[in-house]
Amino acid sequence: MIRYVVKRLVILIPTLLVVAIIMFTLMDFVPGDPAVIALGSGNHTQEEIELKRESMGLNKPYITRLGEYLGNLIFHFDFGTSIVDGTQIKTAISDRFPNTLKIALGSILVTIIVGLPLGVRTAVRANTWEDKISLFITLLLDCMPSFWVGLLLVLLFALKLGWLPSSGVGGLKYFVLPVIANSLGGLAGFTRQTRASMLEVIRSDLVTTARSKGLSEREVIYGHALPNALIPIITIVGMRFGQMLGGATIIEVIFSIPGLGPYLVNGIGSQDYTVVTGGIIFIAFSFAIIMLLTDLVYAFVDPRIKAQYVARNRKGGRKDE
Amino acid sequence: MKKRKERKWLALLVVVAMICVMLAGCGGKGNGAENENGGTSSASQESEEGESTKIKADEAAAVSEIMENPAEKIVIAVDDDTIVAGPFANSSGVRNLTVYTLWGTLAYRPYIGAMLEDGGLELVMAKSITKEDDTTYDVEIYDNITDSLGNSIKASDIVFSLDKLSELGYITYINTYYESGEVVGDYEFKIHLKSGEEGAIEQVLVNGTICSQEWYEGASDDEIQADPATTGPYKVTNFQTGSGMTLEARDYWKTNDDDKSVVEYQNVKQIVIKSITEPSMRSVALENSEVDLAEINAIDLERFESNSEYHVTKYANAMNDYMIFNTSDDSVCSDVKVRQAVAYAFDTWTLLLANGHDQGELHHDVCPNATPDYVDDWDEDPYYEMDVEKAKELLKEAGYTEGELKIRILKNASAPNGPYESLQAMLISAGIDAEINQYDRSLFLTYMQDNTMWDITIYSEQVLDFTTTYWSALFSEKNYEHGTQGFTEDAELQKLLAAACADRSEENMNAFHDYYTEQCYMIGLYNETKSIVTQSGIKSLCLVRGDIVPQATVFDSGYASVE
Repeated sequence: MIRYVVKRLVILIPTLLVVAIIMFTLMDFVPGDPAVIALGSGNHTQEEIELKRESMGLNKPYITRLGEYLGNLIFHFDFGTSIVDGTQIKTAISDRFPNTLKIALGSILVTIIVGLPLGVRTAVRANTWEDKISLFITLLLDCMPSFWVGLLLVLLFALKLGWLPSSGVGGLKYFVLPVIANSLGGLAGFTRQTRASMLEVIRSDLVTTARSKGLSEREVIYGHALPNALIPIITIVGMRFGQMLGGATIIEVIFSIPGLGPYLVNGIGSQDYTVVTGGIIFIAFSFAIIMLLTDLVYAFVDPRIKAQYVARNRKGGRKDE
Repeated sequence: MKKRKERKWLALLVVVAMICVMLAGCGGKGNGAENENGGTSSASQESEEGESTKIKADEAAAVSEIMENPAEKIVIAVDDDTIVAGPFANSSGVRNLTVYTLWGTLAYRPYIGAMLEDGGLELVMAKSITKEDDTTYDVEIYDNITDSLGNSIKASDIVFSLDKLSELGYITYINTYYESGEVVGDYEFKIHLKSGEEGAIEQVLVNGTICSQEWYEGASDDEIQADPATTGPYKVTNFQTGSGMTLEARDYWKTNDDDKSVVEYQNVKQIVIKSITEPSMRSVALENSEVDLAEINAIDLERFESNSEYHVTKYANAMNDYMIFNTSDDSVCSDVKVRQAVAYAFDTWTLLLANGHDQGELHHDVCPNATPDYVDDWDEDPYYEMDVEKAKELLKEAGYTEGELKIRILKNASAPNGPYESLQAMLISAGIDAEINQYDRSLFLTYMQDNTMWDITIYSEQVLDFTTTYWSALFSEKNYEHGTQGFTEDAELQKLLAAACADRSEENMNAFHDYYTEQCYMIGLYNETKSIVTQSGIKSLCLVRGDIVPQATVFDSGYASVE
């Protein structure tokens, strides 16, 4: 198992290198002059622009710049500095990422805590009024854009009731509304996926066998059906969590949360090439780690997958011998 | 059967309840504010008295009034999340708000057109400044200046800071005018300028933020950006990237209030800056008592203007919009008739409204009338007022039939769409086919220098001192590879500009204004009126050149911040 994890981590390196090369190259080809951006507003003479280009190392050949960038990235985990305000991208990401992580974790937790039991319940009681109401509510939530839900929540809980702050960061209470607004849309898909997955398992032979053994309905559903239905559910959680680590941009903008989303959007808007490149490489890295964790969770949930890893390792071990 | 019916009713009830909960947050915003905050009657009384709404430009109250009721804390919402506290940085919303709060400069310009020679400039770190020749100035600084960590500031620190700023290129005026510095003593140095142009020394003195060389070279990048050794009257006590920062009054080296410039006041102990980029959320934060002060969009203004719990301060935006015609041979606007046709085809007020503002000032020159050398008579003269028939006539004279002329409008993606779409519609109705080509800021700036990419564009500049300085920035061939910002290569234009810059007599000013207006090389448009809403305990704001000076805010006695 450990060998598998190490192998996956090693595979991450070329993946990230490819992402870095693609991003660096793409941003290099984007029209516009970073030296002009770095000089800020106002009129600049050609001489000033040239001097700036020289000081930023933009006059060096593409390969040299790429080499320097990758060197700094691999050996120092350094994404460089913003060309607009000169701040360290690594510092900005490390300051902003915890906020994005809090929203992502909170949203996933809300989604799982509410969506999982709801999905199981609606599967067990498929086609009853409970199922239909659940379908209606989840579809309704899915149809409401998160920014609109966010604004409604602010008007109700911040402005009218005064229970929660409307924007900014501070204690946990600042994250309550963003987390709710961010999780509602995903909740619908998650609940429907859980329901579909459970329905498939409930109709399978293993559930019939469990019932025939005289187990209680609770044991059948939560002890036998649910673990077997978890694989696609875990995939969805992993994918959604990975995506959210890239920043829930709209939510972060509405609630003025300094996360990765606004940072990247601002970077794109101001053509801050280094910020965009660094931000996307970091997101790719986070996503790859989450996908790795998702794979590992599969092994814990499904003994067959764990057995596969172990068998592969044994096979590999024999070869080595 | 009965059970099924009950279930149906139950389902319906759940749906109704859900919809009610969802809609609870909608509507009634005005009522809520009125009920909670005193209602409309007292607000209208306030308006009649003219106290709640003022339009301000450069205004600073007397020191005695400002310092009468110091406050413990003020929370300011800003529309920008570029939170930078370091000594050297680009201009941005937060930067403009805090630059003089955190960083000392040699001098401060309290109003547009304040000059060193006439004593208008307020000295901050500089004790005396003497002109040696057109490009050299001798400066003596106070010998007791210290930063927030106790490092003393000497002449070498000033020269280091100016050199560093020039090298980094964040402040265009430093790059443009500052040549070098020469230390001649612990507290004396010389400034060498690149040119003896009027206003050059002022730009260096006012924009050069100063820090200790020893601290800067020994500090980490994080310390420089988030926990700097400041030389202004405040220090940073809390810094959150992209979210905000807290500034606290420090033991300032200048102790006598009468010697202080307005930016050196410390009338509030703690200034909390909160980034709230979404305009509607700034309004909510004000209503929810999360901030003391915020800039508000015109659309939200009504609910604050009609509420006695708030004060609304209106001020003229420092940025002035103007239209540039590409007069090179690669553009259809090389023909003066075409330029004039475009100028007569639109209404400037409609553009201002489309920009989301219902108040502002329409210009009669590219430069606003806030400068000391502005000729007031220009405001009385007709200035390309919308006349579609005249536009069509000019178009015909230029040899175009209706709909034949195609104009490419270059647009910065970050600029509001309204004015451009409105301009396009008005041009089309005058028989000019117009297409808007939108590019992000960097590409926009690159294409602005390419005469094949556009025919007209709208740009904005901040006015600093004189009309002539403003004109020079736009029209002087010294600043552009091809004549002017609109690629105009016209010897007569340059001759008239040089004459106006050398001698700002009304005759020279009129000559240049009339010539370029007649040639329609550029047209002044407007600067919009912006609005800041404060909690009512804040008596008055100190606004200088469109920026708040938070440390000089005037409070009611015993003002308690919302936080």
